[in-house]
Amino acid sequence: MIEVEAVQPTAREFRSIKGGWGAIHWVCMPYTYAFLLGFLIYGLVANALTGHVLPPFLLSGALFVTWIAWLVAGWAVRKVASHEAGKAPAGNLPWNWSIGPEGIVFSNGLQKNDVDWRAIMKVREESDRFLFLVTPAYNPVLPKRLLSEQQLADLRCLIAAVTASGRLGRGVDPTPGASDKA
Amino acid sequence: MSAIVIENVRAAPSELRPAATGWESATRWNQAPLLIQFAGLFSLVILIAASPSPNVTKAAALGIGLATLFSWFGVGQWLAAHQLKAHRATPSGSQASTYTLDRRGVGVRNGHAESRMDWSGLKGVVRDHDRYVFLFTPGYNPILPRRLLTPEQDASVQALIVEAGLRVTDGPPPGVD
Repeated sequence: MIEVEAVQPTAREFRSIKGGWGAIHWVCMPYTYAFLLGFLIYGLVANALTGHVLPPFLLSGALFVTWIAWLVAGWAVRKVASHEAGKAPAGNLPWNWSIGPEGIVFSNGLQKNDVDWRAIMKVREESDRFLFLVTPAYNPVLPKRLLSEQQLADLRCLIAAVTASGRLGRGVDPTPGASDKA
Repeated sequence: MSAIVIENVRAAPSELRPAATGWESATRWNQAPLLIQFAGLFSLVILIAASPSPNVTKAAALGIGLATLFSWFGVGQWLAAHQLKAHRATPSGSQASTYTLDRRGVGVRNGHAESRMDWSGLKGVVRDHDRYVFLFTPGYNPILPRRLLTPEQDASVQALIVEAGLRVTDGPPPGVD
């Protein structure tokens, strides 16, 4: 059993995941950047149609100002959301992880989650963290800095073993269409 | 009071809508970055429409502005539908859950995962006409559809919540979001 105490990922370790859930990632991109993409497309079309008729720096200036305002607003929203989430009774508690052949148990004194390896679609190892992909909205993060060299080696062995045995992600219902039923 | 056990819980898409109340302070400004992009693009469209640029440029500005807006709505709809589909295609999300409520708190389990929350870990509970929303963190709010409860169970759930000293907030009436 691999025991890791006081797990509290930093904002960087909590960054968005870049892959693992297929097309959802790519569709989120145009949704998030729709209006900035619109700017760029407009810039290309306007130049192609009119050459240099538009006032100088109108397009690039408007794009730059909007981009800066968008970056600042995004940063402020993340700060506010994180601050407010920390006020929830269980929002800022460190978690204790216990990883074994059956799955992972997380607890923080007010909540206890028990996730079988069969419920985990896949595990991604990145430079600073392990990601356990359970659902598109639930991907527990384990920072590597909290694991000793021995624990890192043991965890890699365990992940290899549950992958080789087919237990990892085995819980997928293979019935066609079963996943669409509400 | 004995534990209330509700089996085969699987919220309908309409029941999974975000709670109208509960985490306003954390989510109030979520749409601000998107609105800034929107405002930036349409300020440019208006500026170009008001400038002495050729009509074809004005038409292109309006067309691209509108196309961007409609694309954004379309992709948003697609995302909402496919996020649920992707969730339901996972081992854990493909299964119905069993909810257990007792004096200690709320338990949610299926064949592969279990979560147990103490009442003291909750900020409150939203009582909508069709569901209870348990406010745990801004990102985790288990939903219990009321259509699965008998009138006695519904009354017992409310009694447990009150006994735990939690604030119960009524959601908007049906048809008002």
